[in-house]
Amino acid sequence: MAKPAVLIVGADKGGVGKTTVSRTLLDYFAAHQIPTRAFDTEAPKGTLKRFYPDMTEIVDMNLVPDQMKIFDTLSASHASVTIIDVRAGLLSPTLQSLRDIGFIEAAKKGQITFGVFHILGPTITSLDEIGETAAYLGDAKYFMVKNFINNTHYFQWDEQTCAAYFRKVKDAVELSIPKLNEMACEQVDLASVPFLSFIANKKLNGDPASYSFVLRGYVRHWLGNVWAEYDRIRLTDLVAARAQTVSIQRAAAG
Amino acid sequence: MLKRERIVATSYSDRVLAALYDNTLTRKPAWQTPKATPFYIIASPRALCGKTFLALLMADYLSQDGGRVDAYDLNPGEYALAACRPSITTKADLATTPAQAALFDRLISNDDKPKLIDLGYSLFEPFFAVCEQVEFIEAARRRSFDVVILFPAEPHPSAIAAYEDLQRRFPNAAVVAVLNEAVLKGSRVRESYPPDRESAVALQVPLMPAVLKSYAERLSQSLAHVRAQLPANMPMGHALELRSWTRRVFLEFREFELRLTLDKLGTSLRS
Repeated sequence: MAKPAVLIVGADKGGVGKTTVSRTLLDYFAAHQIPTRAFDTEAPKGTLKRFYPDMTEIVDMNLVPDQMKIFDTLSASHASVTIIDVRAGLLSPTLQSLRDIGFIEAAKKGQITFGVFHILGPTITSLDEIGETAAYLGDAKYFMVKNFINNTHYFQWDEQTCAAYFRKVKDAVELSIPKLNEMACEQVDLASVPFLSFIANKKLNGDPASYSFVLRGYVRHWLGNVWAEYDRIRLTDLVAARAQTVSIQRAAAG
Repeated sequence: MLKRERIVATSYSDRVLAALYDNTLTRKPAWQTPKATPFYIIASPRALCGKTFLALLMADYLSQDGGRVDAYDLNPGEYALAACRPSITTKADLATTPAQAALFDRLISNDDKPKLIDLGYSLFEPFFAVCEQVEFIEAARRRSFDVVILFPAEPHPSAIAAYEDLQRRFPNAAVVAVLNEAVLKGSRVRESYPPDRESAVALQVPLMPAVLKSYAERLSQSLAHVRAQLPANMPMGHALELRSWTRRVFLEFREFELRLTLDKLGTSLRS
């Protein structure tokens, strides 16, 4: 059995594209045949759940039963990767809760793989978040994600100030998510399907769809660039699941 | 030595995306598409080099003998081709994503009708940027289109550089220089436009005498009609000369099509 991996996607600021990044991660793991499940903390009605209804559960991270639902099932779950899309403003409290329940400690001991995708906005406030978040990270893999999806310009980031903040987290890795064409973004949203289904011209139930060739091309090109970033940081190696999963599947196939 | 590059998906992630995208392309079975559909893009980043005239000639060539053709005029503000051949030409633009989607979604649909684009110089880069982003040329080939970029040759370095750039960016399209004597005015540029495959040798458009040009510009009918039947509203001598000129140009196009077919045949025999 692969060591369970938990990836948290969050920010303390809203509208920076957390769910978009979560969606690209779910698609990435699906493409690499890594069993994954997701938790959407936008209770009661989650956006992530709309795109991945079969693999996403909506939880309220403030409730202990919901925390148990996620963390007590890590080893028992068929999924080797758990993605938690954390609602705006809940990143620091969530990390604090994880520390309180001993999760950070378990990660430190190597029992769990733990990664944080911190989606950064363009303002200096985002950089302040890094400091707050760093206090709870332990040995987590920390990814600082500049998400350009909303045509963001990181205009407020003075290079030296920025570097000073980034140094607060040891081994932090920077990721850049390029901008997706607005109309393509809208159409995928309207279709309420994973990016992969949109590219493959499929509806959520697998039936053929009739999405625009151009917009599918834009999404494919964009997702290719996003995944190139995930390849660059060797995400599949991080979750250390692929090789084991494939070998299990091969063994099962006889 | 003629050399053709191939773009290959490099990473596992790329291959997954390519496979998903390819599987969605509704291809017709081979028995339904015995012949590839021609797809001509007439393009240059420079103004006043005879793009629309070439588009007009090619549109008339493709529509001869009852042939059908879908022409697209991408010259916002001018739309000269649409004015000359309104029944077969659609005015188009690329200014917005909906406009791009409307155009490319039509272009990619293969209904066995040849397609022709008169690409204005101002939309040269935006058009090819979209082509690259959505991998249009590769998708068109998979839908049984033969994509040919006809490039009016000029001695200007920027034109030569643009020609080379197109060859590099679109290895799956035939980029063919067109030596229009009326534009070149005696300049010798053939050496500056080397073909990247045997079928893509430069096409020659002979000089149309000025007196014929004035008649040709006033013609309401297609040059394909002139080739079949002499126009009544011009002196017999001029009409015969215009027909002879048209025949030469159409023969040049026909020979090019044959070269393209032979090239494909050779490739398929070798593979």
